[in-house]
Amino acid sequence: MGTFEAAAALVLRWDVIITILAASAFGMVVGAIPGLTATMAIALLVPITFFMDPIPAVGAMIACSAMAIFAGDIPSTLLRMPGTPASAAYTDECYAMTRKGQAETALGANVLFSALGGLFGTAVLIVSAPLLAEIALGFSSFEYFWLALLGLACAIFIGTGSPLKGLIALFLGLFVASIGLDNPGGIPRFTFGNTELMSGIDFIPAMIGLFAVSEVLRSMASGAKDWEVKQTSIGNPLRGWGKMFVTWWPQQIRGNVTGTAIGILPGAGADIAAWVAYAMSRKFSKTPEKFGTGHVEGIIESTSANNAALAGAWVPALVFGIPGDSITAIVIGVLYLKGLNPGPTLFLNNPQAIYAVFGIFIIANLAMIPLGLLALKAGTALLRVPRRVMMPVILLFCIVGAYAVNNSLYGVLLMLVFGVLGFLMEEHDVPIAPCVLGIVLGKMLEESFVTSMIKADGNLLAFFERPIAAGLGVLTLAVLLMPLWAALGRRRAAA
Amino acid sequence: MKVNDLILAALVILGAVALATVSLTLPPIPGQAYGADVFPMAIAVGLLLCGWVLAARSVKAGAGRAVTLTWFKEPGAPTRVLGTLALVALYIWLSPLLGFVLASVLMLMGLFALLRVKITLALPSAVISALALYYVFAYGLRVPLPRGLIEGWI
Repeated sequence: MGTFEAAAALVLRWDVIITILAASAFGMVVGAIPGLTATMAIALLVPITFFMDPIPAVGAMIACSAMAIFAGDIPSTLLRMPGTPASAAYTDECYAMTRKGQAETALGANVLFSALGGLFGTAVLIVSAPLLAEIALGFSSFEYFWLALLGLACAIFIGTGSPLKGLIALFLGLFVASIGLDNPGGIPRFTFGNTELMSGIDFIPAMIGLFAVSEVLRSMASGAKDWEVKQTSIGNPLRGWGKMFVTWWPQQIRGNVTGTAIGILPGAGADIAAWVAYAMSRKFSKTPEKFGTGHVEGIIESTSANNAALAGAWVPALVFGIPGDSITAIVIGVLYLKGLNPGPTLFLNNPQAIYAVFGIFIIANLAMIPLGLLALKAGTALLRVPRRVMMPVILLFCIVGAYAVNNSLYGVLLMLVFGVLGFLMEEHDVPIAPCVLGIVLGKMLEESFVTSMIKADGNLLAFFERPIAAGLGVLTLAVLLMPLWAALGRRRAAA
Repeated sequence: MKVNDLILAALVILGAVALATVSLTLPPIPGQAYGADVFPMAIAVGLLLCGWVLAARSVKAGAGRAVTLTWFKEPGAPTRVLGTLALVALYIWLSPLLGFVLASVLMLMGLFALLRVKITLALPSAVISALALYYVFAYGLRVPLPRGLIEGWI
């Protein structure tokens, strides 16, 4: 049996298909509720995937995240409240269309171009990942060190408003990663005699805390007031699909390319892709004055971009084990748990699993069109569920999820600590994403550095002696030094 | 409560110093220059620099200009946030004694009370969600959720 047949046999099973549909529905619910992000949907899904086989588990995460990113557009359009941060870039534009009575056109565009963007990103993933894996087979600890550092540098300087606070968040994440026995010396580090801490900080309760509990605390603080749904009935979202597709194909393609490229870049994901694509659409538009008045052009480009970014982020995640965004950061944790350790050898040893992942991407994005249309009907009803009831129940769900990881209350405690941490961080404008990447990449960064230094006998120049390592090193240093250079330039201009 | 970047900077610097102090006590790998202490030490130095720059910036911008935290503007917000944390702590304490279902219902009722949900809506919501999660996780996914007073019957 060939690899493709084996992959098809893994994917085309009733339990896998039902899992994908159920995860899509879950992603739809979480994505459509303002404030609950796609990352949070994934964090909450992880404890359930624990009990699944590897392929349905990965399939659930792909379907859930794709659907959540699209569903974020529903409250964006109807309430002017982005369901997930990835919709924030074009929320005003969508809402302006609703005010003009064109909610169905905006939502229809969101369904269609989200799915197409996701399929484009998937195509790039399918073509580029095996090629990159081929190259990555020759990588040593030097290259991995630079890759990890590059991912962290991008997370700070591309993803956040304040690089300084991003850097603080990153160091915090690296510190969390350094707790436990698993370090070059093999000695208990920062465990203070606690046996639970010996194995390190459990990733999943930490993620549930940082992304979900912090949001529950924020809602509790604001009193969890209900949303006001302005337009409750929407017309036929299918109307005008053909015309939109013909008129705006250059915007769509540009959005797809931008989104996929930003997704592949370690550390930057769907949120940033949407902002960049929206800005680009306006810049290149023949009618930039129409932007902000309820014009579908920018919506198409950015809604394509955020879903394309989702698939793009899987390229570095699968090939190098470096997360492209915070969603793949969690996915990498799950891949390890499922014995599908990401890296180029996965392509050699387990190619059918890789092709199964590709297949699930295609199915999930195709399924998004019918499910998305259903979601438009369900989404408006969902927004009428009282938030005061919803948020406490989500907290209980978090508790059960954190408990299920090791069947111990220690997970719940950990979740609570990280929930408070995430809440306080966001209240002080310290971004969470760099912290998460620090937690995920900390071990790789330390291990590759120490291994390299031992190999090179302490010679730091060894990091530049291999051609690819040197290239990655120069790129990383450029990303790190660019803001400094820009600041100096500004100072000189001011003087 | 008002917190500005200067306090955040002070916390970062304090954390960095504490981290460096503990890192110094970590033993090296015999015969190697790079051991378990290198990485935390690098983090400590990085944090120290960040704290320093943040402090310098906020002094320059006028440290007296404090930023009000959004969640303290809302009346009753501190009570609701601290109450939520206390209720989760209560769950951690009670669930081994009372079992998952009772402890969850108690926690949810507390949270609903904080949000002033009417009892006619709160009680059924709490009972139904606790039971639903119990069935899904304890039966569907075989998670050994704490069993207590009533789990034997349901």
